[in-house]
Amino acid sequence: MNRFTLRMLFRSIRSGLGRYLAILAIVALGVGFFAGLKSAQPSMLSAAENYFASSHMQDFQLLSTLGFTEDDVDAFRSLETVSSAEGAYFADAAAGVGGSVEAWHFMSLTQEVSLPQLTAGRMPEKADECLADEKVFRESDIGSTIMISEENDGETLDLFAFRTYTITGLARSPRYMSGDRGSTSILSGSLKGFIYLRPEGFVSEAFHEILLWCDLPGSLYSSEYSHAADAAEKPMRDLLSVRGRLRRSSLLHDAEEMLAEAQDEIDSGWDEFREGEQKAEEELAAAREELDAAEKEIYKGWTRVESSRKELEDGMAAIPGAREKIASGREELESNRAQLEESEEEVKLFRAMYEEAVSMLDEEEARLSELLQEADLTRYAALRQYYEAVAEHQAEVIVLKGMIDSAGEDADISALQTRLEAAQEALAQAQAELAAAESSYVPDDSAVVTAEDVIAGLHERASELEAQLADAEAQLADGRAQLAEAEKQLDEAEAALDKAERDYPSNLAQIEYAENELLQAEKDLAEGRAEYEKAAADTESELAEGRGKLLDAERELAENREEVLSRLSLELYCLDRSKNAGYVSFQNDTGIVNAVSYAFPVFFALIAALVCTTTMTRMIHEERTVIGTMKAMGYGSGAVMSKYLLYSGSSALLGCVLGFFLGTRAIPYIVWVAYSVLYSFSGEAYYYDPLLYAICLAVSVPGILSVTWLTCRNELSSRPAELIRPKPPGNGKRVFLEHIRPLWQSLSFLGKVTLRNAFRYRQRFIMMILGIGGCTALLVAGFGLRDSISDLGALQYGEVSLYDISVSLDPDGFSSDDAAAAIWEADVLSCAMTRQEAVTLIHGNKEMNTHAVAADAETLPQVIDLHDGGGRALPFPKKDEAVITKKLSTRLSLSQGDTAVLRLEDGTELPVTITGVCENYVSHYIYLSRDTLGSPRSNNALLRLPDGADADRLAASLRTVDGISYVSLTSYEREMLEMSISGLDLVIVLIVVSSGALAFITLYNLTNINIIERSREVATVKVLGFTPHETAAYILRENRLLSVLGALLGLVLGKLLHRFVMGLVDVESMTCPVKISLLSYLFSFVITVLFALGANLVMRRKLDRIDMAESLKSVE
Amino acid sequence: MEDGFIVFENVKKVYRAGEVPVTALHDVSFSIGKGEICVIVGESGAGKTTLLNILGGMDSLTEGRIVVGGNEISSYGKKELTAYRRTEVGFVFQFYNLIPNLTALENIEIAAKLSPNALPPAQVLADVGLAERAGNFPAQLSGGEQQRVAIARALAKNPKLLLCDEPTGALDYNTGKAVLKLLQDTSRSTGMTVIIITHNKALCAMADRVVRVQSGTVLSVTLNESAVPVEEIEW
Repeated sequence: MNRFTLRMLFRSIRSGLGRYLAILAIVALGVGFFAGLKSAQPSMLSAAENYFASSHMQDFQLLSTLGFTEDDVDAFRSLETVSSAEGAYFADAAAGVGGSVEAWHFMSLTQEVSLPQLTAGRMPEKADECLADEKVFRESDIGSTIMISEENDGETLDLFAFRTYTITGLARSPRYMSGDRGSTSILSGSLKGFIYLRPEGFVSEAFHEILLWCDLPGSLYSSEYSHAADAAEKPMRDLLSVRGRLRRSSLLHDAEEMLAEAQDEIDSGWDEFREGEQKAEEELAAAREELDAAEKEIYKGWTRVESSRKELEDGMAAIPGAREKIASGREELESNRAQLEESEEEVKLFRAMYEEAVSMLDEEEARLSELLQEADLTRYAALRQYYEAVAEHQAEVIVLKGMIDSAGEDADISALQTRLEAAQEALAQAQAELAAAESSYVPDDSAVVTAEDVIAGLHERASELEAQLADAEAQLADGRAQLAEAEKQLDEAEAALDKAERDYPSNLAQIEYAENELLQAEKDLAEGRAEYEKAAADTESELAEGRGKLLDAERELAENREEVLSRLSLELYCLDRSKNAGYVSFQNDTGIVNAVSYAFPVFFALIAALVCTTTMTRMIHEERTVIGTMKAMGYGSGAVMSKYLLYSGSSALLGCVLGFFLGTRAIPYIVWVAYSVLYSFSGEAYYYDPLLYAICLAVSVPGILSVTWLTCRNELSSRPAELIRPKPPGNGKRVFLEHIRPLWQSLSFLGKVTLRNAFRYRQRFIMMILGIGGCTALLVAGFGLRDSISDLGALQYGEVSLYDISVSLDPDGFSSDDAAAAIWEADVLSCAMTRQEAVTLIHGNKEMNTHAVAADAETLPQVIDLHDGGGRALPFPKKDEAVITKKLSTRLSLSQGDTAVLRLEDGTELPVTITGVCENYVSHYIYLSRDTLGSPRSNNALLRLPDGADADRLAASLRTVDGISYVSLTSYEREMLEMSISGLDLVIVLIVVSSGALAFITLYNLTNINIIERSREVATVKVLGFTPHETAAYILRENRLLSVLGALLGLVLGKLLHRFVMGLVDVESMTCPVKISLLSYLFSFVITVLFALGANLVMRRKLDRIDMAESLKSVE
Repeated sequence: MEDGFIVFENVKKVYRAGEVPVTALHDVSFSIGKGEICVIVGESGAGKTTLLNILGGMDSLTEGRIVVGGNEISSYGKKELTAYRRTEVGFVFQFYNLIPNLTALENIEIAAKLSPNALPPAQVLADVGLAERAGNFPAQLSGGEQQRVAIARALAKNPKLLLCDEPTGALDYNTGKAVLKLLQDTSRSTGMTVIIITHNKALCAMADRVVRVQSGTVLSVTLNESAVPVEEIEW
């Protein structure tokens, strides 16, 4: 390289400045876009990091339902990891600024952590001054007042020391990085903005939150930071639970006493009530018994009366029959009487016979007694002496005994005695002599015996007749008696009948009287019953009243208890930065920006190489004679080559430097402008990455140099003689289409020419197709990126999360039932109760924190549509099964049928089988059957409302229900998501502009070379009489053809590029569907074609300027 | 042979390349009859090409008047000039200027498409004796063949005027002669006016009229009553 070649280099540059600039521009564009987009994310992140560091953005926010004391704050401050700890107050309240009342988040100003940044005005100095949200207020609002609305509930109102606060300045808060101001339980449910008060502006005995700044190492969102945060969180949580319990036990102690007293009062009330109730019941029972007895009596009376009446009537009815019977009885009686008289005659006959027999007997007996008197006289005469001796001795004994008895006591009776004894002895002897005489006496009695026999015969006859007579008489008497009896009976019966007939009226009267009596008794009974009922009802109502009063008192107490205990229910939260909406959405957005940066380098590098190739090829062709001459003069290939290497290398170097510095400044700025609408912190930081710079240089300059070397090598290896001679005309070639005769012949002539030309120069063909295709591909990728991301809302909330409201319940609160009731009463289309827990899913050596949703197979599918990528519904998991979202599946390399381990918060590990991978776009979940977690109580309800229902109103009303800790509206989340995505639009514009530039550069460069190379041809056709239009068509039609072909290829490339880019948008909280809408394809195609047409228009002017005289020139 | 088919009257052409105006032609006046073969001969830089450019409707003139077949082409605008080139003039270039990407026949067709009273391209190609080379690309043809295709291309439009710029300049002797013969034969058989621009004075013998150009103006116009066939010319 000597002065001569250097001078030639500068002349080449100057004479073909456009060519030099073309290389420079393409390198600058490529490097600029790449480096610019690549540094956009770090630039945004470092700006955010500076902001967070300078404002001491909290690393942790501690919340307790019972608040914190100053001691608590001190305890946290003394933790090793904590740099600053500060207690703060906050409240969501309805407040008005100039009439309209809206929900605001009031916070106390902090001195150490999460410092607000004053953007206008001054800091508040008095307790009734405040700083207002700079996103909502303007500078002109400074000085106006904010009025706390009286609509707020008393508890909220009590928190404010004043009713009005004067705005002294505007501020931004690191806690509200994005436009998302969060939701609340008051008014419409969404917060309008925040207001900072001085701590004295609040009235509260305890801090509502503790903010901790730990000054942790590691940059924003880095794993270094999250590890440090995780490490710091553990002791923090431990301390939090200790302090929380401490606070609770002191508050609980007071509350318990108060409640116990009230309970005692109610208990005694119940005792009294029960006594009264029992007494009343007893009284009523007695009355009821009496009434029942009376009723029974009446019933009996009625049966009696009824039977009497029946008897009476029956009797009356029987009388005529009876009389007939009596008459026939009398007839029978008369016939009996006649028989009896016949029997009397018979008796008389018997009596006569009997009297005859007796008189005969009497005669015989008298004769016998004469006979016997004669026998007796004979015997006495025979036995007289013996009788007289016995009688004499008996007389002597009787005299003696008389003398003995009449002698006194002292008379001497022995002589008498002796005489008596002798008398008695003589008597006994006499008697014995008599007896002997009697027995020895034998009378003569034959006459007697005959008489006696006759008498005996007569006796027998007489007694026979007597018996017969007696019998007959007895029979007669009997018959007579019977007759008399029968007669008597008939008479009696007749008398009875007569009496009955006579008595009937009086009997009837008696019965009727009894009936009346009974009716009266019945009436009395009814009255008695009515009286009883009334008494019972009275008692009942009295009791009910008493019971009601007691129940009221009990309910009141329960409510009080619930209120007191719910106020005392301890819920502790340790929230890290990932719970901050702005923090998370910023990460997502910057992640997308980063992914976009990958879309560019591929095509720009390609195009830069191609542009360089064609430019250098052209240049060498133009200068072939010069090269030949130089070589002929003795310059070596190296010397010649160095000129071209210097030419392109310097161009690439300049382009790279220029592109890098312009790109890294301009593009982050543009991106920042796009996102500054969403994020409220200023000061984009210039991010200079030497490594990135080195990469750009290392790729672009050597890349261009090697392309140049490859291009020049062939030409320079030719021998000088060849170089000096003009190049032979290019060979004509048939294209493959010509072999399809019918098709080829149907083409117009110009069509054929165009096709031939298009395919003739392979290099140009490829470049054209790739350049244009690259343009289309970038557009497709850009639009597709937008499609994929901007549809997230529609996909997540339209196809997956069908619920409109998510309600978080206090699982252990006393009032969950109230909450459930409120939910059930709400007019919902469907409702699923779920248990949601933070869990860790482990597969192999990978693990990921995620969110478990345990629910029931019947309800969950109605509010969350679990379907796979093909839209097929997935069956709800059974016990120990799980359906996971795509993000979990890809991050943990889990697929259907795998088994993963689920670690719960308490450390329990459960193996679950993955039964499906479902589509999900925002966040990630693992869906379980409730029994997999041991059927815990629900802590969340997902509600799906009917079309047209006012979800905001329902949400606001649910927020006021005890036991509901948080209500989030799907529509609000969707809105926030879509707002964040809208920042993407400017990035898309950036892509459109850059791809336009790419298309233009490619077309311009290639067409330019095409025209220059074919200027002779162009001149010739002009001479032949082609009109300017025909000439343009002749040359540019192939551009159009190639543009269309390139664009078509670009659609395919774009799809691939899009997939590649989407693979890089790997933000944990989002899963973007890889999808491109038809419209995006169409737009990309149309825009590319428009760019191509634009480039053609420019080229056409150039064509018009080609002089026809060119055609006359010699070839080269 | 009537006079005045082509009339040049005091034609002047001044180029304004850069600061200095360069007078390429001045006081050029001559006329050519219909059906004549006219040779315009002169040294390099004499203004032959400028004359051709203007007559071919590729360039405009600064002063003067040119009439072709009764039409004053010097007054034509760009569009009319295009139409004039399209239908009335056939060009034959020194370097043939065939379109490399078209076959011989197609090269003729591309011209024939332009003219309403064009001749059938295949016929014309056969007339120049290249019927069997119809499907060949220019690169597959020899120089003479290429030039014959070029002539055929010019003839296919059935123009009133055939303008030939050094038609033999790039050809060897025999081939050049054959091409010239083709031109002469065509003119004789069809009565077409043929203008050949050359620096080769030997060609003057085959012309009916010879226009000598020198230093931007016409030196002499000679009528050659006894034009000889090309075969008899030697150079």
